[in-house]
Amino acid sequence: MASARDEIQRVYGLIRDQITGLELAPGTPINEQHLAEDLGVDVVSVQEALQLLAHDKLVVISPRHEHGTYVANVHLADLDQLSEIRLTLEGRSAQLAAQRATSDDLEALDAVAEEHAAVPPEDSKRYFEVDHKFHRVIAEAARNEYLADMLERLYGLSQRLWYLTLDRLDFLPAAVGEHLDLLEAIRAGHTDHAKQIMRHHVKDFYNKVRKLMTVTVKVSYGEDVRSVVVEENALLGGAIVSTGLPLEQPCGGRGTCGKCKVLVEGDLAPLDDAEQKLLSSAEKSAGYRLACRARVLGDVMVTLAPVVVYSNKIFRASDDHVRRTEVPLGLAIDLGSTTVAAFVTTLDNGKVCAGAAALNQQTIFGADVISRLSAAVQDEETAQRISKLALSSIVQAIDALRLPTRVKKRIGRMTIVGNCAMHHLLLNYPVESLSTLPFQPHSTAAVRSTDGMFAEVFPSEVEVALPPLIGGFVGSDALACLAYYDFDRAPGPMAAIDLGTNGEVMVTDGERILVASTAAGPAFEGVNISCGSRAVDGAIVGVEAHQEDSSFTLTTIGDLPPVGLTGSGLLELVCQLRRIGVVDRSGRFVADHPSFGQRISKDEDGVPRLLITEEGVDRRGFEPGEEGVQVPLYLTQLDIRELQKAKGAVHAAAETLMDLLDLQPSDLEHMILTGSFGSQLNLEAVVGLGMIPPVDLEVIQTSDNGAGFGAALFLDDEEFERGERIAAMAEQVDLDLEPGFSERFIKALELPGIPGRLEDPRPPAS
Amino acid sequence: MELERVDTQRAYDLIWEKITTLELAPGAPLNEQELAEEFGMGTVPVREALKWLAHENLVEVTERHGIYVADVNVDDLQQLSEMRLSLESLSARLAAERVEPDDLVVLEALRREQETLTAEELRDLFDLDHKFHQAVAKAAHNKYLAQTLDRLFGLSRRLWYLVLPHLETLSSSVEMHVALTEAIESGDVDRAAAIMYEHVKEFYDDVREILMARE
Repeated sequence: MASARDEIQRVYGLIRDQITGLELAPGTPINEQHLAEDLGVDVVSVQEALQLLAHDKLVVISPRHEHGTYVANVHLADLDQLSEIRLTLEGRSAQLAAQRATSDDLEALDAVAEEHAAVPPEDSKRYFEVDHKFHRVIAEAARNEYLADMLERLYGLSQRLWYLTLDRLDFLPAAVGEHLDLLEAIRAGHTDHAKQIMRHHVKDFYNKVRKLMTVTVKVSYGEDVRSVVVEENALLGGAIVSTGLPLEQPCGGRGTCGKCKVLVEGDLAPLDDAEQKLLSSAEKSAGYRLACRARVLGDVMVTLAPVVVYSNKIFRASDDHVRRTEVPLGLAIDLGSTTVAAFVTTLDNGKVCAGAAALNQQTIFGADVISRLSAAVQDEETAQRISKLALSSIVQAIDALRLPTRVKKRIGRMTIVGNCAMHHLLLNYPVESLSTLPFQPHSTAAVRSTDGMFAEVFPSEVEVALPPLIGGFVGSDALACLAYYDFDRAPGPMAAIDLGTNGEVMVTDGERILVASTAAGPAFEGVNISCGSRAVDGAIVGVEAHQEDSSFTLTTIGDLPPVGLTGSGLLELVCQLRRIGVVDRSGRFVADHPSFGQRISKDEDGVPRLLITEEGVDRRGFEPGEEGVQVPLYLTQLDIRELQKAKGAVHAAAETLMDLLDLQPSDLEHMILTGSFGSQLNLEAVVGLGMIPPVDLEVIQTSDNGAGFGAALFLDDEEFERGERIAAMAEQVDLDLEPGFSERFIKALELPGIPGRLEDPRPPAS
Repeated sequence: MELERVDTQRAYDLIWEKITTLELAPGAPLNEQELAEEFGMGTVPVREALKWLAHENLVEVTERHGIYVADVNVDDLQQLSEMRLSLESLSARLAAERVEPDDLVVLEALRREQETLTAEELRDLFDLDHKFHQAVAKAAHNKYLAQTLDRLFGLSRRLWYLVLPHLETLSSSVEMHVALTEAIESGDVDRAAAIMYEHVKEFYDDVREILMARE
């Protein structure tokens, strides 16, 4: 019996070493027969030893039809728990050793310290062995068998976790110094000091291992960016869910629905079968993964699919592109700062058949262009990421067209237009000069061949071309508008304004074409407005104020409960408030307004605000179809300021360009308003608030998607060349250098009234 | 196979109970055959159970003397008290940090159960005290700590049963439970650790005093 028992203890030790040394990795199934053969021992001893190991929780024994016998799994929680208890016991051990160590113990410790110093720095495994010995000798010096026995077990359990990170542990040599300090404290009998050093030594080590075992997952959802620390190899989906940001997983993570697509960058396990099947090649190359399948190996950055865009860029004019199966197709992309639109065109006649849009995912680097440029300047990795985000936004916009695969295959051409920043960031051009005075582009030249830059995303036979830029401020999106509205063929004076995050203003007198870009800011797209909203379901697009009962009638998209103000909703609201005198000429709220004054209050920061409705809905963080939370919606003084700046910039730019061409507002034969909400604009509000110079309402036309339709024109070689000619003749005006622009801008901040139409019960503010 | 494991666990529990309550005295020889007959099971599960117990230092297996119950002495007392003082205060500290509503319900139920016992019902009071320590360890949410304390408990229990005949009342444990539960509930980590430390120390001091007087 005794010798059999010794044999079991020996086999127990052998298997235990294999488990703690990870030769038998966590979760590995154990076959008693094979293990016995490997170790050269009999099966009975292995069985007995496994029983003991199960008692130690290093092995799990379950009936064969369940999981059988396997090596116990380890998790981060194990590391944390072991660290806590070892910290206490090792500290106690050092303390007692300092109290009780004999000269023999000290000699033994000296010997181990010497041994430790002689270990070659790269031999991590040897470091562990000697470290283990050191702890054992101290425990022996502590003269407590139970303590020594317990520490030995805990060391074994911990070692398994340490070994997981062994190949990345490069700090072990530092422990040698700590051992020497500890040795001195023990020798000197400084009990508390010894305890302290030991605790620090143990804690420091666990912290380092913990850091190696964990990764940080950063998740961005629009402007909301959150991060979470998770165990290496964790599922991405779980990490995302734990941040509290929404992730759609209708199939419950089985990898069958493909709905949890997220854009990820960083170190992940290779795509598994489900991902290979459910992701298109374009999505794969753009960095999409299925959150329910992808495992995290290093720090990663996740971008959640943004909310669906509702925009006038989404339309279906005809299904020629589907029906006329023999005709080659082209794609025109308008890469806007906020919205990316894709238009599909039949190439034989240049007809735009359908359009769709997606949000530009670069917004995680800031809603405005300047922040994105400065992020890209910081380092090459970020620049590449921003470029990739543009690319994946384009892919999403194309996906939103929902083209059948056979139709997609007929796409032979693609043009991409955008402002200078979007253009440079997409092509990953250097942007230093674009982001600092005097804002020079790296290159304005047309790009006919993109050198396979998009080869991963689109079949290589698809020709991708980018028309030239006009200057450092004015990009190919404005060029597309010029071409689409025939500025080069205009018989007389005309102007066009593309209202977006940047407002592009174009004016011609019939000969010269002047173009300027204003930093209008994203107010027109409902961004930077406290209750601003993109044109989504429930967004307020129209407002009517009723003096008699100080109420508003709101018009919302889809007639749904209001979620916020779109750009046009904002314009109309402010225009109405101005008409009835709730807002004065300088843009200030009139707090003692006889009827609407009761709706005006101050927020926590003391900023005046006006209650739009008590029955607004906050749907942030809710899934489509869910109800959201009821919240009041307010228009704040700062929102009005934001609008004033945006409209003032556009007005001053138009006035400046007209002045340069000696044109009066009455000279203009056409004034075209385009952009993301061109056709939804209430023209009375536009003129009433002085967003454009005072032209007759009759000459104003609104037009959807000028840039996108212009981009579609450029799919034709001749039109592309015409575009290049327009780019060469159009003159970019740098507004900041124009004398008088600032004065014009300041003056244009005012909110005038339309003579005869708007009542203005109060004298102009002094 | 499955049945055998159930039997092993049962044999382990039964022998553990006998050893820790000194029904099987320190140094007493153990006979697999006899134990098997007594429990009404085969010798195989008994042998397994004895191996686990040897693994936990409650049983000794030697070539010359066969299998017997491990000895217990004042040295053990010292060593065990050193360990438990550290770990029980850690347990109380962590419990004060992490306690959840469920844990508090258990602690409160144990306190109420304790009220029904008189100071003379020593065995019941001691078992209840053990349950209380286990509940605190559970509230500490560290399974390794709970396992380690469980093992130490088996060893301490023997010491306590050794002094049981010499005890008249179990000192101050009622007040201690109330105070400790309060400290844990209010998240006062330092106070929880200090109360537990004093409580465990008092226990070992009592035991030591009696053992010393006996020797």
